[in-house]
Amino acid sequence: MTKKMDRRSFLKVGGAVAGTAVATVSAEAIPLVGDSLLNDAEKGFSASHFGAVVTHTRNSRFESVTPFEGDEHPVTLIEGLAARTYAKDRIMYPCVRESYLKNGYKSDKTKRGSDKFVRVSWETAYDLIANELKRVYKNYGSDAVYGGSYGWFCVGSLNNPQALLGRMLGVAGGYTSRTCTYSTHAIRQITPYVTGTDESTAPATVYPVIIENTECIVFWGADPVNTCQIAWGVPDHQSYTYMKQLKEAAQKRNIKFYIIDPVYNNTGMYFGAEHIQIRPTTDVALMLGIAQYLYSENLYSKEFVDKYTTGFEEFRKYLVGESEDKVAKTPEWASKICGIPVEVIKMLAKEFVSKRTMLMGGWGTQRAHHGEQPNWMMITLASMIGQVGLPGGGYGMNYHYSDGGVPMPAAATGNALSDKPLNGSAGAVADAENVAASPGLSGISINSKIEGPWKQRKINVIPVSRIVECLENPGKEYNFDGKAYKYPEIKMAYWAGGNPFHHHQDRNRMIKAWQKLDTFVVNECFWTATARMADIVLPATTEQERNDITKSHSNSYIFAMKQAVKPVGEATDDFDIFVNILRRFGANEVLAFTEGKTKMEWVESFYQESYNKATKSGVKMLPFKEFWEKGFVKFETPESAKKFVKHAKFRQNPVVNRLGTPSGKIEIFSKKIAGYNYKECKGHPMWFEPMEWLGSSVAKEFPLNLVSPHPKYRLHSQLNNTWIRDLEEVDGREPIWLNPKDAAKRGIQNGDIVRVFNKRGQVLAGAVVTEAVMQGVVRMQEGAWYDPSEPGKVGTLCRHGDVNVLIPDVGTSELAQGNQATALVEIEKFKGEVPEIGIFKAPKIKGI
Amino acid sequence: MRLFHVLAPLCAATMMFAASGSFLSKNAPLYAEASEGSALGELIIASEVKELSQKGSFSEVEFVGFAPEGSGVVYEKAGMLIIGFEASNPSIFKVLGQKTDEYGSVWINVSIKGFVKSDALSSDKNKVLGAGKTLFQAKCSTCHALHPESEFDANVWPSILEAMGAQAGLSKLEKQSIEKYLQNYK
Repeated sequence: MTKKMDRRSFLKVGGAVAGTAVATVSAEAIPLVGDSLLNDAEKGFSASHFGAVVTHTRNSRFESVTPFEGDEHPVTLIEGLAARTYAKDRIMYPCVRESYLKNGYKSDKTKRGSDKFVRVSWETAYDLIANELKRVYKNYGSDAVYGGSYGWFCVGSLNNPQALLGRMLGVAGGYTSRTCTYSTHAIRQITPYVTGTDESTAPATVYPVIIENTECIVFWGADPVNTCQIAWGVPDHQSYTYMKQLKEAAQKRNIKFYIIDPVYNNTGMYFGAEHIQIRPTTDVALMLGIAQYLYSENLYSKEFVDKYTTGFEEFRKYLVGESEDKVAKTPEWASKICGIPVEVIKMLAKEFVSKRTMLMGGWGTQRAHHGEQPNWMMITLASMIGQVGLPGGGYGMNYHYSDGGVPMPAAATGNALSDKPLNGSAGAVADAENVAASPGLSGISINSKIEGPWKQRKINVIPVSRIVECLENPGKEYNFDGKAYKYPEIKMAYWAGGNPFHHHQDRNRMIKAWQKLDTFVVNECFWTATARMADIVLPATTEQERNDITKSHSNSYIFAMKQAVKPVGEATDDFDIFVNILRRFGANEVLAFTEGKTKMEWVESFYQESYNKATKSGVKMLPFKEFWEKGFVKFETPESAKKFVKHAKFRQNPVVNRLGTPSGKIEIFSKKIAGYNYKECKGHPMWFEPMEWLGSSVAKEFPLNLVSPHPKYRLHSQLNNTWIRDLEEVDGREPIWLNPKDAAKRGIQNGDIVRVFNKRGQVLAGAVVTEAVMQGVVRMQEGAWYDPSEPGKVGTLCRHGDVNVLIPDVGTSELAQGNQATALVEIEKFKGEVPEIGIFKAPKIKGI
Repeated sequence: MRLFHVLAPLCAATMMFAASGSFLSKNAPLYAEASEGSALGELIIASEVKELSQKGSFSEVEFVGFAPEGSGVVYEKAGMLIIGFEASNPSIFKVLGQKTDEYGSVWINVSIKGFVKSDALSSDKNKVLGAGKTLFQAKCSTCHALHPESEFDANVWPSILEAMGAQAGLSKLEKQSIEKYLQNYK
């Protein structure tokens, strides 16, 4: 077997070809003799959400990576790329859940998670999926297939599994999709009413301006040093260079840093920031306390408020206690809620108005019950401070995201010199001296260009984080962003490139709701918790096992993603998987999906489109072949982009450069929102008591407030199945940080295995006793893989530490219907024998 | 009576050309004369104009819209940031009147006349917007799920596209084509 199992016969079983399969049980046991270890062509080029990389392939294995030469601060996460290729939990073959294989959609759904998987041929798997899609379309209509498939896998312009899935389902017969994101659900829905744009993506004042002008920086629930490791596009980590320069400037200019957070984070540590310990989800109360003090002491900028905002009077009444509740939101009032001493609140107020202050808001504050309020209130506070539109002042809400604050090459738009900034929100443009620009890069569309019935399909959407509520309540009416909708009846769900059994809240409720699905199909590289809950699992290639093209998030580079190695096992590109499903529908459907292009032709076409735009704009790019050989092409940033000040144009002339709000100004009071008559989101920012917080009655039983920030050594749940988790885990469990006083009270010591629980569920975690987290608060990162003791069983113990077992799945309010990231819990030292982790190796599979 | 004689042929011509609505099928420069000299500004895709006369390959057109005071950008409607015309110099506007909206913003009702290449005009607004729809679906769903068209107001879409356009590498025309489709979506 090994002797004859040469490269060629191995390849025969790869891809979509049916037939005999290699009898391997794990990726490590590829029974082939590879190329020589002395491979003269070992270097390739690829990219990821962690950075661009030079790949090294020897002995037919993708062994390692070295950072791209232009990466300004390479991160360790790139090491996970090679490691995960051969993870013990790679999915090697198409598999079907035993009971599903026997009974199809009539199978026992309570067995999801606990049933055995059976290996099947690709042909069988494709037939099962296509037939089930046809059945569901026929009996229930297109809305009954959920293809929202939220996730973060793959930066490729072609192989974005979420887009490809939508494209396939759109052609096959339609689907229900989703809107919003788990990251920015509330900020994205609320800020268009306030400043006329989505503040999660609106360009922020760039670092060079901050480095020169800002005197006080507030990291408000933001940890850019940690979260800028990753990006939605490819990070080139320019933000780290700027953060280093900022630190140097701080020493020269005595810039003051504050971090307002329950946890002292990486960014606070780097800048030596003063820690303002705030109780989780009480940020609005603190901001109101500051605002009331500014108002009562006449320290606020009346001039800015009058000229650039609308509705301050309605808000003022609420602030001083002249509205319905008759409560003045004084520092004393705020202090009782947020736990920050009155004198500190007053000090912050005076600091903010006496120094050039930049409020850097993160997204943690809006992933909470009533998460619409914090960003609205921060913009209101910034308006009262009056520095919006001044160099280095005001606010920015994405410094922590994808190299936020880095000056970007302007868009090459056919004539880089002709673009005029429009509206107050105009971004950087190229100037006459600098034709530096980037043409951007397009990718495959969710919709086909080819004519056919799919062109007429109307795609229904639900707010992304309401999926479980949707499954539980088909036909139920719900409010969202000023309108009423009805949840569709979902019968089948298909996921590609995402892991909802990590990112969705309230795991046990979710497991039960998932039983409502007749069929659940998953394309995955690894046996994630989601793959294990599927009826049909298809093995997908990793980013480095296929060719693609992408760009850096900053637009400074376009990168080649060259296949570094042949796919492991029977792993197949998502593109080919979907083509093969559509073959079961017809030739027109296949043509609609591929548009007659091969994968490599698609890749080249994306580059060519950019190339043509760049050429028109006088921006130089290499021809495709040379680019592909070299691996990247660079675009320069014009000097003008380094001077960008958010809202400067608006400040200069608010009439001509009006905002996209109905009034054209910053709306402290929104007539529109007030008109919705929602109970938990009114006409101006307000303090609403969250369902679970340290001041609520639930805290008597569960006295610790859990926060779940982004992980340091993962991208959400990605890379958790590699050795990188060993850099942080405690005895194989996800760490939970707790204050020494809370630990002592419970007899918990550093390194203990603990059980964290509330009424929604229970998880194991490894205790890290530290002063970095304030008393009464515990901190556990999102993204540790869910590892149930009894898979599929509601209420079972998660052995590894999936924080979303504990967090409620209740919408922020009727406005945004967003997700939460905090909860009240109790902790105890785990008694009894500590169970082994089961999630990081493939389950036993029948038929191999 | 003499006046009538002079005006009558002009009116007839105006009525003839204005019988069907005309829309910009692309962004097009507006010239003072029926030749490609220096432009008064740029008419923006999907904006409606009145055709006044025909001169060779040029059409004389009038665009009527609303501009904030001092703005070189004229919008199709008062209070809505749907761009109709971008002027090189606002002094070319003929002021017809003004309107104050419910927020107290003043909108100057202006008229601009000039010549545009006839091949930049279309009688089918839906076709023009349809091209924007195709672009929207092609360009805006590769990195993230496609936003529902009704997700943001007409006034919000421009800044969303401003932020995202650079990521997607949209040209100005592509951006405005998508913008007009979304702003006109009902």
